[in-house]
Amino acid sequence: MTDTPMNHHEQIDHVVETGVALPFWTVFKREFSAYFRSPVAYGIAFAVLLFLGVLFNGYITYANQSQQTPADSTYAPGLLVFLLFLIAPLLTMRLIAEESREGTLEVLMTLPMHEGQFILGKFLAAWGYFTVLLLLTVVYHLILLTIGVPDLGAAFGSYLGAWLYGGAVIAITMIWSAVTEDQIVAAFLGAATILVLYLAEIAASWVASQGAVGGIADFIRELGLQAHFGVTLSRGILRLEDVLYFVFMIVAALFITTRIVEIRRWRA
Amino acid sequence: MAKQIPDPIKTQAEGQEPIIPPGLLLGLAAVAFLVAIFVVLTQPEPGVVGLGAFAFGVLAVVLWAILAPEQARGALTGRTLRFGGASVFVTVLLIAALVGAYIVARNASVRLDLTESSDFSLTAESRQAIAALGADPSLPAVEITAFYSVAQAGRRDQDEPLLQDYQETSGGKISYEFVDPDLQPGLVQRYSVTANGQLVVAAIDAATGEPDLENAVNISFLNQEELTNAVLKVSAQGEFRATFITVAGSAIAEMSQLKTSLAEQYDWDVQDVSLLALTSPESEIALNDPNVDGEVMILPGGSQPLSDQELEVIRGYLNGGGNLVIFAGTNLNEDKVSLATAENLNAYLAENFGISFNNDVILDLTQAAQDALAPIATDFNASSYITTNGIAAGQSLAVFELAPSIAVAETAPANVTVTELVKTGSSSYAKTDLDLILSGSGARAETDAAGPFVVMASAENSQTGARVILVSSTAIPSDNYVLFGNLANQYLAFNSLVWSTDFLDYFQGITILQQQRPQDQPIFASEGQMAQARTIVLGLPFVVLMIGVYVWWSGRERAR
Repeated sequence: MTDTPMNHHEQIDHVVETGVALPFWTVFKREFSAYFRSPVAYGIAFAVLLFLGVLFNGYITYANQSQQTPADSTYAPGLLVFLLFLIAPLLTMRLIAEESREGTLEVLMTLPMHEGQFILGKFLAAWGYFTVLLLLTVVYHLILLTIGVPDLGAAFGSYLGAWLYGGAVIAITMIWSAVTEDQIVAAFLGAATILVLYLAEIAASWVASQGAVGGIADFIRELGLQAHFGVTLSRGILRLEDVLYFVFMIVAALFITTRIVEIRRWRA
Repeated sequence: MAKQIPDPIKTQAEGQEPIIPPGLLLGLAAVAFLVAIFVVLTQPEPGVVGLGAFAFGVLAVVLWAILAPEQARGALTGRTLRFGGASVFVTVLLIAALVGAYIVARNASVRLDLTESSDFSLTAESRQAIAALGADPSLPAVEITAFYSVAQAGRRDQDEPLLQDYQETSGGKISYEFVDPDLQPGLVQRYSVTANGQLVVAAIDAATGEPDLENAVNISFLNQEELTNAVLKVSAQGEFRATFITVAGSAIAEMSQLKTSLAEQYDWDVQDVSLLALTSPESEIALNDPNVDGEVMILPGGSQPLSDQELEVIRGYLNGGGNLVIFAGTNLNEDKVSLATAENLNAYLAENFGISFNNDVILDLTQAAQDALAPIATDFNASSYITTNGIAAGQSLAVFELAPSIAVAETAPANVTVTELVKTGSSSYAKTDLDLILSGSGARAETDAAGPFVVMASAENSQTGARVILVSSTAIPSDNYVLFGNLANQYLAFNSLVWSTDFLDYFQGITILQQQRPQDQPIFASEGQMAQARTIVLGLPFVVLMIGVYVWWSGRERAR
């Protein structure tokens, strides 16, 4: 038996055949560790944390000078959620598009593994990276604890919301990574989709002002991401429909992505 | 070759056509889902049609799966169906099912306020008050109508958990409804809403089931303290009574405005009745009634002195802690005295309350409304509720007519506190020769007493709780001088009744004040803490960057 480590596809093949673990778990481990071996992921984390750090520093400086601003425990997750329209496409653009472009997707699909497991593993890896990034921002909350009285419940709701929000947008952007082989196109389309969903609330107001039937404006608003985060979870209101919205977004997006990959495999 | 024996069961099953063709069921399901989506898109609530269509669609799909299991299995696993048009159909079905589950969850309204400070649920003070309201069967139901447009949908989502808490804590006695003002302009007009985002709090009339919009409270935006107090105010059922005594030559007709305000705006029980009728066994009004939250007796002028029997009624009433407001009238009897200036009443008032009417008339040639007999007073007590509530300090005036001055004892009787409320100007003077005044000769004489004169005073006996207010003119509760700017006459009259009955305290008693939360405390950091915070937040990204550089460098080395 050779000591040469198995490559990615060999690992998956081995695990699937021996049945020692769920295939998606192997895909997850492989992809998750890939993020932390890639300088790009650190670059993204650096840019995000620098941006958040500068703004957070401005916030606490202003609050300390004015002596009228209470500690806002939802500040950091709120900002991070806004940045997701850039972060999520960067995280997911290569996940499937790269496999397609390099022709490894077809090879992977020859393995006795369901496409869903493959997609789920990749999704969980990207979501896991985002979770680490989100957890790093807890440091802002710890700082607030030393200089004010932030609301811990609201902070929990805000972080939970940001985490679910991140999962939803990562799943959505994965669709584009499956649709196109071009990573730039996938990132661009992903960012555009998230922006549209982010701005749905504004679009709903505009539709309502045009005299449209109230239900249509409400539908557009509820389709958007902010209606389920900006005024509820991010403020500490936990609503079942908001949690389900994000979970269902993830389920639907992963299902669609799986279908797209299946069709690719079938065509191949 | 062995002859195959046909499977009788299988043959029978294959030979039978399903009652409903499976394809038709799928078509029906598609139509039902389209209807459900259409309803959701065009209506604020899915309603019976939307939910019914969705349920029908699900039922049709389930039936299809039962009647044609092979087709169903094929749709999920079969190669052709998986990668053909059915793939899209199954995806649409999944999304429709998710949308349906989402709508069901949304209608279930499951909400949880995670905040430590209960930003979106009732505070302890509000919860206690609202629970008490819900537990009191004598209090009416309350309706909160929030006029939020689509542009305020975010606020609606944020405010709904709190309104839901009001509803649940009150045991359903408080209900709430969101109204889109753009869709229901008729309701906007009916509820007198002037801007989007307003909330109208109204008690529900038990007899009609309609909201009492006349006494409704309009709130500009949702604030828990304000909303709780509004709910308590509209549902308050305190019993307050004003009894206007009918006497000869009274000015009771001029007090209709005051009576209307009390009865309609504040739901007081207002009655006209004679003093002797009050003592009759058949009288429906019991003086010093312990079941009444507040009561006041009003003597609205009058030309004849009270009889001994009538004075005895007043004496008994005040000894029992009653409240009396006396407006001195302009009608005099043949002895040139009125009810207010009669000796018997004033002797009693002076002895027991330290205030009494003098039998004179105040004139003012400089500061008067129409003539000297209608002096204008601008000197209001700055610390009394009666002379400050609704009255602009230093700008208001009160017009008196044929007003007698009020004598205030230098030493008040035991347990009595006397307060001078309103005084005339220093240019005023008082004549005691009423014949001279009635003959039209009101010129100032050296023998006239010089102002200022007290024209309104109050006295309170802390032992019995009795309160007496003397007002020198029946013009105070009337609207005779309503065209004057900054006129305080009716405020003075109304405030007198409010103060005498403790009506103000009653409202303050039902007013909830919210406690300051620790989370409202502003950020405060020392220089050292700020420096530490800066180092961490600005240093953290560079730490991450350095790790990235190390990872990249290590990878490069390994590749070599």
